Amino acid sequence: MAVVRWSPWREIERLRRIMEDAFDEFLTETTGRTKKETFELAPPMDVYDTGDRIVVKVELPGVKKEDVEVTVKGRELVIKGEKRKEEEQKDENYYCSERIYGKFVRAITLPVDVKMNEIKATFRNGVLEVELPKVEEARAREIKIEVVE
Amino acid sequence: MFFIEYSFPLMDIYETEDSVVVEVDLPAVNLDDIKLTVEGSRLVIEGVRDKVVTGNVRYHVMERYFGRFKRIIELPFTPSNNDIKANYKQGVLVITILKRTYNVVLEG
Repeated sequence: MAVVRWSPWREIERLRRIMEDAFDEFLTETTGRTKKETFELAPPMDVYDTGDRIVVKVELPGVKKEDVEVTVKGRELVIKGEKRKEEEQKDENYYCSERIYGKFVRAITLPVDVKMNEIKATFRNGVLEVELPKVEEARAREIKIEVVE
Repeated sequence: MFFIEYSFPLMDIYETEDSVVVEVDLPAVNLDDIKLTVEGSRLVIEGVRDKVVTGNVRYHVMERYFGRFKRIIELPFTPSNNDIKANYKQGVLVITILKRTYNVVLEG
């Protein structure tokens, strides 16, 4: 068994997981749905505005390109898919199992309208990057004020 | 997140017939920035993940962790150097440590 230095935050993290499991169990019992259907992962992401475009980066390590789906509808950007285990190991062979597998979804409302046909998505080193160029009218621009005498 | 430094990077450790495998979720790191060391039976994964954003940007959502990280794993045995292999693919660092089996000859 692995020996790990004690940390109070780990204990809190453990408590959080226990509570999450309790909620999952409760929801499964009351809704009759399985855990997988009630729980979807929300992988961490960054969203920033460079002035002429919105950039969204989502961490999806170990996820295959064909298991990711990116859609834009109006101002709503949805990234979803599934993280699959490459090779199933028996539970008793695990020393440590922290990584979470299963379906994930992230949806955000973009702050501006974007050019639909110029959206670019790349997937490299486990990070999905979506670049959404803003429509001309949405870019910050200076408006000259004319002085009328 | 509050306890992020203890939960980054997340890993799985499992044992197969002939090896111990450590899989670490480490998206978007440079291999030069990761250091993997073994001291006795202690395996240490440490490094730094830098943010690569150029120019002046305005953040709307900031959830990803950047900065230093370190994870220490106590292996159930002391591996020799050429029994450890590591590779990085799709943002996942996979470390495979071979288990040695010695056949003890029975005398008498």
